[in-house]
Amino acid sequence: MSIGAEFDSVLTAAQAGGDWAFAALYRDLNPRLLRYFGAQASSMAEDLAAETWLAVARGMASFSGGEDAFRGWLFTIARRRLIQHWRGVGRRPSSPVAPETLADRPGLDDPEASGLSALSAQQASAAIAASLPPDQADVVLLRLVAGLDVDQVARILGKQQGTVRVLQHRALRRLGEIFSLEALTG
Amino acid sequence: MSAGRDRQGEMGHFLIDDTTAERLLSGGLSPEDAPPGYSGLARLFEIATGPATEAELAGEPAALTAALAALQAGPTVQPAVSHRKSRLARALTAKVAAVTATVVLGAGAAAAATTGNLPGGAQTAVSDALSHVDISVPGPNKHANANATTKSHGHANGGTADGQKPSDQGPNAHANFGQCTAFTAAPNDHANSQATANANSGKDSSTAFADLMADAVKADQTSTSYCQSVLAAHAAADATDTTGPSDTGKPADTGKPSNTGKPLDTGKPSDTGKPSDPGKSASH
Repeated sequence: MSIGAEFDSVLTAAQAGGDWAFAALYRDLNPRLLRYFGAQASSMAEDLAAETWLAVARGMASFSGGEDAFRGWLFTIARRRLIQHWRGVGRRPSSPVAPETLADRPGLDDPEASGLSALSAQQASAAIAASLPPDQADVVLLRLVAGLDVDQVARILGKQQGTVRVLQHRALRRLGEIFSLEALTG
Repeated sequence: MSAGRDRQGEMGHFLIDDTTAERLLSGGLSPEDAPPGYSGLARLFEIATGPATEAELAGEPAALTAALAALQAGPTVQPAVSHRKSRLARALTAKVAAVTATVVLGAGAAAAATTGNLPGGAQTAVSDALSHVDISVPGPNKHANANATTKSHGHANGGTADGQKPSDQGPNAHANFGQCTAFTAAPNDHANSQATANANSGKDSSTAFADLMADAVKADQTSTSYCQSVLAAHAAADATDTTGPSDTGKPADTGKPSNTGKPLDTGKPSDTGKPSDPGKSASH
């Protein structure tokens, strides 16, 4: 999911008001956006994504930067939207699902036998978010689903890069335990 | 952390090194290549980063149509709202007062003040005065952009996608706002200068705006467009709830090297208010 070498010309055309170019950006990045929102506010994912694109469209003319920077900008706006949503509903999901709950299914470490492969991308993202404390979920979703690097994630979250790395290692270890055969068989 | 490949975590699971972590988080580590205990997770990550599905594109028409309408309407159109708008209006009123102040001072003096070039007493007074309208100006003995002289002759070319830093972060953001306020208020030899490098403009060639030019060059923009970004970002920062986790006290999310030259999140003016999206549910 990326535009690649054509990105600069697509961006320029979109900034000039080219519908096709903006649509190309939308088609490329909206799936990521839906997974990101779907993992954390599933019932509102499409609305939040639409609001994010509205903000992007309004700020489009003055953006400059490459494809990675654009993705970083998009998810900066997206995360702000998500936080506004959580404020509106008075909470954010805060309690990770206990490993035993998710590990109910047999053979998670054998993807083909476990039914893991039947998950959609959004369900997989939601399972990841539900398995982690909020700060770890923030990091993993922005890295994995949004496709941002450590530096970008650190800026969006207002954390040090080292902190982000620590959080992602803890998250991976926890996720590894939950989605592994060892955890199921003891 | 990177030396932990073969150590076991306190919870009994093998730790992985940074390289493996990066491959996992990119979704590019296949279950077969995953370290012991991580094949299930590798598969889960593969799924989460898989290609777009029909279902994910199904919502396209409505959301895209709304965004395209906003795109065509341009960046100046604001959603018609609300309690936030009144707050924004108050902020703008303060800015008008600030502009008035800079005009009264004389644009050159204001620019000098923002760069700390007034005599000490005057600098203090201007700094104090403008602080009442939420504009930060350095006190005496502070010089923003000491190296501006050499950089002000740079050319606005070669905007690098990797790592050029928007320079308007930290204290400079406020200095730039002050300069931009003065710049915008100052008469220009070339009215209606377009978004092309305009090194011959009377304002651009003024030493009073050398710092501004330098920052604009670094941002690969003309002073005019750069100032639009700075002013928009400043207004946006005022209008944005400062308690937001990603608003880390820095002005308007600037200074991300990888978000280089980005418009200081100038989507934020619209991002702060409720969008006019009719599809937005009010049920929270």
